[in-house]
Amino acid sequence: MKNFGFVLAAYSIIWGLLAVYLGRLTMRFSQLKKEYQHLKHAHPEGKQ
Amino acid sequence: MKSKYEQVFSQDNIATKLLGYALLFAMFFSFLLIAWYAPTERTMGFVQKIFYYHVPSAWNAFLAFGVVFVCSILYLTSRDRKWDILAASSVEIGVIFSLIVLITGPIWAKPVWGVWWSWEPRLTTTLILFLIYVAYLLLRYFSGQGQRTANFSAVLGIVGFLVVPLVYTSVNWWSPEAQVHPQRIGMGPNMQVAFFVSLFTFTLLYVYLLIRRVRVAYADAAVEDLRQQND
Repeated sequence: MKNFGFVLAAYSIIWGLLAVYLGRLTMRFSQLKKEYQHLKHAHPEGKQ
Repeated sequence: MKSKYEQVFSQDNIATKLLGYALLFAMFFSFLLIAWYAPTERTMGFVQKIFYYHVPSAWNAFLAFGVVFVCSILYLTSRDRKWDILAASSVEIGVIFSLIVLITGPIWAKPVWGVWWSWEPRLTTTLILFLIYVAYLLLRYFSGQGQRTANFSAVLGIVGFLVVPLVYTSVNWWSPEAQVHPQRIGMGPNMQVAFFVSLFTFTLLYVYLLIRRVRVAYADAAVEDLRQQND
């Protein structure tokens, strides 16, 4: 299996990059969810 | 207080979960096909296995920019924010897949062509395509979320897509001497099976990532909405 290292490098970069991106999306969503709950409770409905 | 986008925070619907499981299975199955079912290519050898992820990544980038093109037109004709959100989300995913193409290409090229990079038509046009959509993301990042930004982005999304057919046909427009990419790809039946399964898997991956990215964009809009109500 000549050039195995090149294939391994390419596959690692592809799946690594996609995993980081998906992880980042998940974290960002949780962060926004917390922020939304905080804002909602900080200013409950009816309060002026 | 409540935002009209609040429902984005309710749990993933069953279809998205099923898509996630189908994607995991497809990725595993596709990997098995690439590793054991598809034969090693005679001229290039084992390094040709990069092809099964390199070309589907390019397909995903084209698909993502195609979605941007359609959504940008729909946004400019309707001014409905959902099309702008969808276009911006698709650009981000398209840029990631273009980046994968631009990284895996040189890794494949070095052992086969003897060079990491060559300023030949397909590589150069792919780089231009990537830079156009990076400019789109920069425009959005530095100009905020106003309607003017959405309008400019939509125009860039439409104009930028014109480069996609140029990238695809670049191997035919210039003489073979100017190219390093092959003008035709010949594949055996087993290679075709592995390739098309990989292409299908990557298309699923694009859809899944787009759903996740759009969810974040709506969550962002919900928080922004609530902030404006509070102010």
